[in-house]
Amino acid sequence: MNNRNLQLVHGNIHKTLLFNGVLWICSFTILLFIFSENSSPKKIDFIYTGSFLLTILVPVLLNLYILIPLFLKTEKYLLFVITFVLTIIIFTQLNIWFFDYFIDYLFPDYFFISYHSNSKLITIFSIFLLGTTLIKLSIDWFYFNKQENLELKLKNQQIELQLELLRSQINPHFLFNSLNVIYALAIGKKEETKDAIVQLSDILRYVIYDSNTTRVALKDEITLLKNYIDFQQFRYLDTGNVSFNFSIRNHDYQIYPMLLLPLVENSFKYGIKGDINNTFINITLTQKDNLFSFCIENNFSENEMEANGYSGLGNKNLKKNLEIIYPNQHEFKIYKKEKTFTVNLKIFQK
Amino acid sequence: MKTFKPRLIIFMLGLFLLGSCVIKSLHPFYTQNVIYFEKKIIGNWIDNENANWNILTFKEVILKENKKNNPSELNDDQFRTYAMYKNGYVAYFEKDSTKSSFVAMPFKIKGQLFLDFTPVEDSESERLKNDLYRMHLIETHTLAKVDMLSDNEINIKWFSSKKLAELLEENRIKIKHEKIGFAETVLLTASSEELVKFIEKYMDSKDEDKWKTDVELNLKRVNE
Repeated sequence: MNNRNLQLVHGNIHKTLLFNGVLWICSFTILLFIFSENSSPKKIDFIYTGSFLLTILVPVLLNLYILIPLFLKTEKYLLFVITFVLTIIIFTQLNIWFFDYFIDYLFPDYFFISYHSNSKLITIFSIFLLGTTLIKLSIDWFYFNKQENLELKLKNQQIELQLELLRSQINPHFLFNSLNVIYALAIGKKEETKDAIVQLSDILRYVIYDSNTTRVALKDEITLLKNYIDFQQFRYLDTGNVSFNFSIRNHDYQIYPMLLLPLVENSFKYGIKGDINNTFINITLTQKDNLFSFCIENNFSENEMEANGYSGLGNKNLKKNLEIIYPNQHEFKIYKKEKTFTVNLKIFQK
Repeated sequence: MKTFKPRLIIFMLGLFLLGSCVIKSLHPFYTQNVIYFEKKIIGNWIDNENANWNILTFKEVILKENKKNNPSELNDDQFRTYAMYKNGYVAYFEKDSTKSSFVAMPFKIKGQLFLDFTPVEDSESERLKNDLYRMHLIETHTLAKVDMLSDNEINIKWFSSKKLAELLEENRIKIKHEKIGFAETVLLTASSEELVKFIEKYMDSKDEDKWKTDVELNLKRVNE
């Protein structure tokens, strides 16, 4: 951490030195050209330009490293304008005094007479300070933008990683349950074993390959759910009443993959599989225009939930997923009554 | 076909030689705030080359020329001129039966008295009244350092163009100027403020020969 801070400080010093180096070399060249009035620069022009830069160096640095950070960047605009104008006036006057009195002590053999009137000096100082302020703000904006892009990139990477993590929490969970189903069928030497394997294979193909994208068509998600429900019914053949009703306007409506499966999984786990009679799962899925709604309801047993170590992890994962994928575009509600458990999900896509 | 008359060539050469040894400026060497009226300069003088100088106040001359008794009687243009030069002199110069006159404005910088000379009229050039040549001439200002040696004796040294040429050649001065004519005579084009600034700095110069000049006159008062 200290090393990183040290690197940042060194980087900033390096950038500041580079910025000032380029700024003052360019300034010297431009001013020398202006002060020489299109003739080839003479020794007196070099001396004058160097001395002039000395008088403008202090106000420019004062503006760049004190006034801008202290007032402009903290949005104290009036204070900035007042101090900015004062800086121009004070340092222009100092420049006049410098060339009227002090320069003679430094270069007594030279006569710096026809250079600038006071109004021209004020103009030069104003242009110089305004110009360097704009350059500084542009460079800061450039670095800020670069930094912001980098942070955004890192944030995206973090989200991707988080999503990957959430998915990896779902997949083994699902696979483990499914293998249990096939195991049960195989033990009973059921005819349906091979059909179950084919269905599981279809589900896994979708889960592993097809869902590995940011969005899938709603019809594919529905096929997955149908396959999953059919597959689960191999196991709980006569113990449950599962209804799956859907009404879709647009079959190609795009949705985040594997969003609904954990909800159906949970219903089977804590409803159908429970020790209660007349178990049921009612699934209603509707899609109209930009609104997508999914409601799943099942009856449950507190005992079964406790025995299976219900922690609500699946729903928590889903909630996290939704916050990342559909920020401010979804509604996720859980209603837990005495014997029924209902989850309601709505997505409003813009 | 007309040819140049030898007399005119000699006159032009004389003008060039005389003119080229003192520095000339388009603008006055003084600003209003440094003007200093020195009463002792007024009077009749004779210089070391036997030329006669009659120095009068500008106020007196402008009223006399316009036949007025006081300034309020002058018209707007005359009053403007009066206000501009009221602290100055008109110097009538007579040498070898030729007459010329100048406006001489006195001013002090760092305690030193100077005179800024501008030609007003010249009897020789008056004769060229309708000549094309005269149309090409403009009045310039020259700078003279004045030392009152006593109430009856004045030393006047015109600022030499050689000194300025040296500074320019050595690139030790940055002052607005142009080189004009065939002889590339230096004509200062700096403003009066800049010229005052230059005189101030030049006075501080450690060059012992800074006032050395080819045009130096010693004037002695003529008792009437």
